[in-house]
Amino acid sequence: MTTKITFTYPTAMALAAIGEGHRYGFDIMDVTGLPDGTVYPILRRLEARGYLAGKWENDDVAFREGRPARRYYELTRPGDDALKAALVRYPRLSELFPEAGRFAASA
Amino acid sequence: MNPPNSPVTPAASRLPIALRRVLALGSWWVPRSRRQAWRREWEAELFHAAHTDASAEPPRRLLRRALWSHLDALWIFQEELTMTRLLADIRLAFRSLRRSPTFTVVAVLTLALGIGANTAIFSVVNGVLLKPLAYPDSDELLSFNFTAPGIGYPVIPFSDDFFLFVEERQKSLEAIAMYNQDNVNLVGDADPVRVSGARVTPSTFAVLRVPALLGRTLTERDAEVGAEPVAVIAHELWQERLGGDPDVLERTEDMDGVMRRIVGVMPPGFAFPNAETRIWKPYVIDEANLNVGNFSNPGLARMASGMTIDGAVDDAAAMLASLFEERPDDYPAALIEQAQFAPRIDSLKEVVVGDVRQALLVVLGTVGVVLLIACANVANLFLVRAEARQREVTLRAALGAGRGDLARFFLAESMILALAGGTVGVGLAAFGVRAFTTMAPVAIPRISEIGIDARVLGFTLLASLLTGLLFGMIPVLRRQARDLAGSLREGGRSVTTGQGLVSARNVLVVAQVALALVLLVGSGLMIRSFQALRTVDPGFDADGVLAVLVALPGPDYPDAEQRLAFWTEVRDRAAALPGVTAAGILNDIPMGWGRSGGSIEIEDFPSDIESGLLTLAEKKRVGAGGLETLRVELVEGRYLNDDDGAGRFRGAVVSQSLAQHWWPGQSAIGKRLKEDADEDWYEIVGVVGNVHYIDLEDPAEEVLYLPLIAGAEESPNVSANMTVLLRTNGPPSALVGLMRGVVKGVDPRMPIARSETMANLLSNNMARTSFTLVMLGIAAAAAMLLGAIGIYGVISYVVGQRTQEIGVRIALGASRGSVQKMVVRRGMMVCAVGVVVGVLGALAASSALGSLLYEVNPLDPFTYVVVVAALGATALLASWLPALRASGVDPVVALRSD
Repeated sequence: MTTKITFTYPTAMALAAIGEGHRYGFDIMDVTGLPDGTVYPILRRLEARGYLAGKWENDDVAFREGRPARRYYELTRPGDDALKAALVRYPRLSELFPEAGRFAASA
Repeated sequence: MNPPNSPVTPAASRLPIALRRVLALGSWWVPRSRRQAWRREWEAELFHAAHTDASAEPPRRLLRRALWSHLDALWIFQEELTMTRLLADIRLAFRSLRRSPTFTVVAVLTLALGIGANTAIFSVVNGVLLKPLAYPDSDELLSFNFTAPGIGYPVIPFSDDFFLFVEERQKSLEAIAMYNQDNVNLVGDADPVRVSGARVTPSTFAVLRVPALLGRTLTERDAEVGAEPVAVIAHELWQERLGGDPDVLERTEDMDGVMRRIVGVMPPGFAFPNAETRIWKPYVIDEANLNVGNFSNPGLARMASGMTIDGAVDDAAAMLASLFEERPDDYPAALIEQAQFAPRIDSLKEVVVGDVRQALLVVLGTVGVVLLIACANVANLFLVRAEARQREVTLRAALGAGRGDLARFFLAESMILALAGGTVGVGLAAFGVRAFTTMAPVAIPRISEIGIDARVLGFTLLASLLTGLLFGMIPVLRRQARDLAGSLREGGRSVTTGQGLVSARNVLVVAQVALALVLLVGSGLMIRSFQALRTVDPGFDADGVLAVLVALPGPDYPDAEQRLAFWTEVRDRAAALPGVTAAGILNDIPMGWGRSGGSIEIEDFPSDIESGLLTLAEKKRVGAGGLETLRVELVEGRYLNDDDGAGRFRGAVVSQSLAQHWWPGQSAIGKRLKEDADEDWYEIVGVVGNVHYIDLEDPAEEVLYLPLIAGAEESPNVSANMTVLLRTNGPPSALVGLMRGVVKGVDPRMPIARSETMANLLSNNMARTSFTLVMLGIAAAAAMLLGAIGIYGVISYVVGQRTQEIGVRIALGASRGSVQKMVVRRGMMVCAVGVVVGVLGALAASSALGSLLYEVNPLDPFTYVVVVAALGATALLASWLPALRASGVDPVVALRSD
């Protein structure tokens, strides 16, 4: 994605958290400490714009573990670019999420 | 294994039931297409929160997390609404409107006219009727007076005696005050001016709850006999007349020859009892010399909190009863009974607004009807469009657009049109309001409070939305009644159009014709009223007469001799002005600015002193030349001259109505009567024609004209306020400047209090009728035009649709005339139905005009016949034009056309 991306700080935090492997709602909330009700709209918006892909967990796995299938979020290629841009825009973010690039979309 | 989109996974069923309920509730907001996925995701999240964490979450925290799902759901809801549905609809509507600019412009302008007219009139209604008066807690304020219908007085104000009694005994009021208008000649460094003023009891300011801006308001001490003369002035007077002098509170001003110290300045905009009042002087009650019979001060009160008007009336009635019972000498029982004395208490606002309410509501209703007609027209245009787009719409439906989608599609268009119309309409209304306030009759109270404020804008928005809904729903409702296959078939080549759509448009035209007829009947009735009023003979000839009011201050002119000398001098000098053919003086002119009446005593019919029963009449003081200048007809005898009041012989003139009342069938000349019991007799020397003093709509009053008396020892009588009347060949208003010079020439300290042409005073008296007439007339003309356009539109549309059929008819030998007749007949039939419905509506609605009408039966057959004929002629023209076109159809072209 080549267009200029600007994000609010909470959005950047959510992106970074997902980049670090926190892949579902409450996990992202817990790790970012974002206030009630902010994270989901961010996830919805990012997904709608194609920065995130929501994927249902394999039902077999969930069934075996005796729990409902989860919806995981992961960065898409544009999401990956967006995260990089966000890390440039907010330099201190990488201190909070040192491994933010770990689960970036594979090339 | 679990199917991937099963509503609830087995594991999730292990979620506590409360959490699942919360989620189910939240999912209501999520659009159906996303609902299952949404629920699944949240179940998984909550399950995860409840189970995976080593330190399992306490239930309350879990519940709170579940509640967050609602925020998420709401967010999805609003996103869905704004992004996908509404925005898309609106964008689509904009695009389709832009593709047909003529339709859009016509529709927006039609709606703008309708909404603009409604906004303008509503802003008047808002300013005059709805807004509370500009005093704190103004709904507690009362106009407090009395009524004596038995002796012909609908309103009797307070006397000093009444006021003291009520002030002491009342239990329902927080405070009570009384006031009277008492204008002031303000003499200062600049030209002397006449300023509107009032004499008020100090409690007035407490009742109104308005403190002074500078200094103080009046106190009880100011109102004591012998107190230092003081005055409170208006901010406007301070700024304009005193140049905003910062030391205003140290000034003493010459008011009517009394030096009054200014003790306070009221805040800007404060004006009571009139919008023009600028000076307030204390009303001094001399308890030692009470005048029991002088009822001249309107009362003003503030209810105790929690009190109702009915409660205040009961309290007042009880007080009156005890007053009359305790003091039968002052208030003879027979007189009280004859008078049917009772309290008359209204909300102050009612009294301020007065009788303009009905006229305003009628006008508001009228413009509302015009808006309805405008709606019908736009709906008609809309249906034409719907027809033209039948294929597009059918295709959409065939591709799966549901009824809701189609409805939103039409409603988005209609809402955009209506809101655009509303926006343009507010602009029109701003002009309209300005025009209204400048041309409205003087009689409209609170006119300065009229303007476009938040409430008016809210009204406009609501009116626009309702309008959009109204005409947008019509094609939607029509569509609901049709089936897909039928539409597809009809959209193709066919001989005639869908009967359903035509009949929908017929209904609209019937409605338009009916509404237009109601408005036309209304304005027709107003025209008839106006005609009737115009034919009322006021009893004088107003053309070419100027009336100039001068008020002599008591301290400067303490005795009658001086006053008479002043008036005679002014009259003689005025008579000598170039172009003046006659001049005279009268203390109270017809249609004028005051009223003087009261009891009289007739020699032949002595009133019963014991019982105190009274003979009442209007009493006027008239100098020589007064009646002549007005050209009041001389029926018998002669007019008054200067000698009638000078010597021992006192002549008087009575109106024909008074003469006929007391001496029917015989001459009143030589009969004697007097003003008060202890006065000298006047002998009737002349009988003059009846003059309408108060209102053209009321029967002419019985009037007694008395001469100015100065010489006699007893009861000299020369009014301090008199009107000089001048008759001229040229335009009377040109004389005002000269008259100012004349008055100043006689007394350099004396201003002119008021001047007006008699013609203006007369037309002001008809202002309410003519104002209602003009407004109704404009509305009716607009309604008729819109109605004609509606008929024309439907008929020419039908002609367009039936071109093929008409071509066939002509090809088969139908004459042009018979084709024309066929088309016109169709238009006239629709119109006839509209007329029938409209006549019924008008019969029901004309009673709303009620008291606005003068000597016209609301069911006046003449009006109905003329209106129906006019509307019929218009409909004939509107359907004849398309008929011409139809008969010109070339069968070859028609048969080939699509």
